[in-house]
Amino acid sequence: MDWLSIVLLSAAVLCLGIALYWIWTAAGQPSASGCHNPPHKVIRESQYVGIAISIAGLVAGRVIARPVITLRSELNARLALPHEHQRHMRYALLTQAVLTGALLFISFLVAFESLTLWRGVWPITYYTRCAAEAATWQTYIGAFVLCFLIGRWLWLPKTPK
Amino acid sequence: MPEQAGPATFVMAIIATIAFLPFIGIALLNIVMTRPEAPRLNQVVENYMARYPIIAAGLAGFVGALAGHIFWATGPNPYKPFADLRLLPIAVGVGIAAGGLGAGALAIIGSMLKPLTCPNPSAILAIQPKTLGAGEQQTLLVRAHCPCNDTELEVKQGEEYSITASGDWWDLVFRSGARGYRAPAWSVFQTLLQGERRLPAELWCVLGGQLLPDPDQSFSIGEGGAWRPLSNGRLVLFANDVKGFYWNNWGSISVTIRRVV
Repeated sequence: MDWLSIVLLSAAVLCLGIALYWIWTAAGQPSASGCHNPPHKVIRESQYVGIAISIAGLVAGRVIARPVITLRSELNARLALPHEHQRHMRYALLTQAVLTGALLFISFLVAFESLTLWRGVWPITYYTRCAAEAATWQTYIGAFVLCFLIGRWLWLPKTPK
Repeated sequence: MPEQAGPATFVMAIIATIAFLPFIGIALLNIVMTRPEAPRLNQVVENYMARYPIIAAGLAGFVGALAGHIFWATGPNPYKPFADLRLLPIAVGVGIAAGGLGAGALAIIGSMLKPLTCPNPSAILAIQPKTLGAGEQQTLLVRAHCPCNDTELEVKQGEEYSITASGDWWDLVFRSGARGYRAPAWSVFQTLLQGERRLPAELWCVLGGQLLPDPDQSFSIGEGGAWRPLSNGRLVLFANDVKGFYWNNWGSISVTIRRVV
């Protein structure tokens, strides 16, 4: 079943890569359509469509996630033993670094959102609305992929005993 | 205010890149960790979160609230000017400062709560004791932050044991072995409190022992040697410190107890 994980994760990376390529090439076009200020709150689709797509992404991530280690003791042993599992130690270190980076990124988002609300300028909400207004379906695909990855990483169907 | 044009598409592209790149990076790491012999990324993450379930639950709720705030906005939608680019470095600085302060506060709170995870004397006495036969031995880890480390041994007057200790532990920033350490002269706080230590005449963090349930039966062990109990009781071990200040201790030493006679 490992191939399924690899295929789905590769597809997610590919989707995000294509979206970034599309966004940057569109940005270079003088005729690129933007959004308004303030961005439209009600676009072609209801706001609930975006929410439903995001929830679907979360659920899909949870359904696809497959824990391979069933015992917590085994998991801890793989991550803790310094000599037999040097490679796993490296993974643990990488994961810790990524978690720290992710938490710092969230701190930055909260700080930026707070500052923009305080100063009365465009908050992050406006940028997401702007994206949904300018490129609705592309935004939905991006939201689905991001929620799929979050659901896969943070919403395990089963925890080790 | 009439409706105006939104931000430049280049601004949106930069913002999308900032939003997408961390996900692409973590997904690539996830693919690398899909090897058969590697633990899965989500399982490693869950393993960290499981160690601190309250913090994990708080974090999940907070991130959920943030996502809801950003993606599910209700209320008015007034005109607002664009954010000044100078807000970005300020937000980075505030985020790092707040993250650092939060991590520091959590570390301090976690350290202060650490002794609560140690068994207290009444809980120790409720566990069935065992005895060592002549020539038998047992090894245990003595944790610096626990005021009472249970050996599970019931010792009797007249018996003889050989105790050996190895390893280092820390009293905040002072590293020592089982023999303990002498506080530097500049450490005024320690000078003021040295009379309150469990073994006032001994060095800080020297390995000590106590025979429960008698609180007065405390003695110094240090790096070990021959030891004869002066009375009967349940042997517990500890680092010599002031009661209530075990929270800033960390590390553990290995102690081997062997019954000689």
